[in-house]
Amino acid sequence: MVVLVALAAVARARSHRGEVTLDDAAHPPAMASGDEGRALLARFECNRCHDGTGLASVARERHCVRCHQEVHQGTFTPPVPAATLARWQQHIVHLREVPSLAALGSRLRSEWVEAYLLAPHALRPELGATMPRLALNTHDARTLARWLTEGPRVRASVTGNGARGRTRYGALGCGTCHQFSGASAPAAAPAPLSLTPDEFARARSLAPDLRSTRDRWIPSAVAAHLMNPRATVPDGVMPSFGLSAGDAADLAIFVLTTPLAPLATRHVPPRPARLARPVRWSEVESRVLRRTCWHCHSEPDFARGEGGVGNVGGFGFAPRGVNLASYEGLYAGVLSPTGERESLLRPGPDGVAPLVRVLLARQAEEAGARVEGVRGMPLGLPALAPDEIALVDTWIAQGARVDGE
Amino acid sequence: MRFMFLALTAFVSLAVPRTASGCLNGVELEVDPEVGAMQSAERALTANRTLDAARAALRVSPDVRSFRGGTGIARRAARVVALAVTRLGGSLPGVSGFSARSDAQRTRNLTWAIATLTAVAQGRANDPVADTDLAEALARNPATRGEGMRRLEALASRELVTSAHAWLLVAEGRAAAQQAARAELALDRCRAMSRSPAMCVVRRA
Repeated sequence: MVVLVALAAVARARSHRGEVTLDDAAHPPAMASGDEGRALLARFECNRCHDGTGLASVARERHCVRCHQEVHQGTFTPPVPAATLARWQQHIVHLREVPSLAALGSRLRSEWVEAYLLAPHALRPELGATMPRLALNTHDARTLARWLTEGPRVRASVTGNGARGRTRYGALGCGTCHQFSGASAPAAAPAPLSLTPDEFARARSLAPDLRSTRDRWIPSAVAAHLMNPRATVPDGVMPSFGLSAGDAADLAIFVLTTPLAPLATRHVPPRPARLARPVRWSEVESRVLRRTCWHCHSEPDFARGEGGVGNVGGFGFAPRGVNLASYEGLYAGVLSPTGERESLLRPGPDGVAPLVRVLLARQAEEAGARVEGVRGMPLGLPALAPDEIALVDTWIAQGARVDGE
Repeated sequence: MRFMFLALTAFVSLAVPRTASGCLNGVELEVDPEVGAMQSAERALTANRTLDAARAALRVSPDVRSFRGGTGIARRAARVVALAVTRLGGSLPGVSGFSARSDAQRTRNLTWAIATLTAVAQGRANDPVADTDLAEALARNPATRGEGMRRLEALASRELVTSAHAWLLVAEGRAAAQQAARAELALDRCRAMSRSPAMCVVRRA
């Protein structure tokens, strides 16, 4: 659907002396979804990660990134020793930035938001984390998308010269932060900006792959954004380059219409081979569970009741009671959707333990596939490396033993 | 300028490890001394340093006797002390309030342990850790052994027994019922989950 709409928009484009016009008419404003949209926003707890939702902010302990940001800014409370803070700063890589949802209706297409909610995928190559695959149906996604993108919008169009835009793209150093997969874009020149390393890292991590822009954005909003980024994304990180209306339009037309080569097909990786050596519990705990899984599957008693989304529920998910913060907790398994406890370690008919199955499913999701009935883990984070999955798989196959004395 | 951006790009791309580090428990363990101490107590219990575990838990939460249900550190301390009382036959030698000099005191302590683990389990519905702990305590008490063994077998059938001590009880129950092969399976699980696999031996009645 998204592709068809995009093709229709391009088909409507007129070409005159190298100039192309794209009309917003192909992307009408979303129909209002009223209170139901707001209720869904609250149910899926969009405000636990995103600013700009219109919902009240949540406590730091329940927020996706605030704690991480405070650690990196050195403002974390209660104060911890400098060495501890430095160690945390080194460890915390993901979930440091999340895009704002403020004023989405002025720039994003409702049908794209709906499709993205149903099948999230990586948009920002340097961000690492992606939108998690929530437990929402088509109606939920449509209603949420409409709520997020509704609002007054002036119908407009953008006319520009893509060739000139391409030159401008190179001169402005857009490729310093943005990838543009499949496009024949100029090599990255230095961006004529003075950013601190932190500002640069933040801008780069939130910079989307521009390949998706023609599917995501309303055409005239791209040009408007390039002229005055704060007008379209009030709390965004895109710097202002002081572009004229003409330069912005040229650049927008380049981004929106330059031919894109198809991307290489991503294949689901084969199941990693088990290791030939003994694997210790302490290795699994330190390399996998503590590094990644504890985020959402921890012990509520040790965290003032907040055991993470994968334990006590959240983001619209029911509590699953998974506690990977201890050996005993791992053995306690998971609450099934029917409320029965099931082992995470007992292999299924295919010989794969449920704990390994969700790790493999995340690999598949990254390749654009989906494993029926299984939500890939870690949710919204990059799949574990094959050797890490092999570590867990091997440890379970070897009897899931605790380390001896 | 160009060099600066290229250098920054290379730094951001290559220098940062591509891993996430879990927070919540990880942070609390470092910023809240009670959480760290309580986790140490639990690890001592898992490592069969039962008396040490109870002492450590009582240092964090001395008033476990009054636990009637609740959450947080108090619940975890009560669990550790109750399990220690259970595994040491109703007495914690040298521990004020839990050192029994008579059978009556042992029985009173064991009864408290069962009541405490019942309260813990009621606060953690459908949690196999709490269910295993309570079943173990019931199985170690002659008056409630049947109920405890029934609960342990139900957990074992779903591979949801969460301690080596409980698996050993399962093995003993199966051995008493002349189910040698099933008893050996339970002993295998005991050995896998124990830091001291030598403990996994069925005692002859």
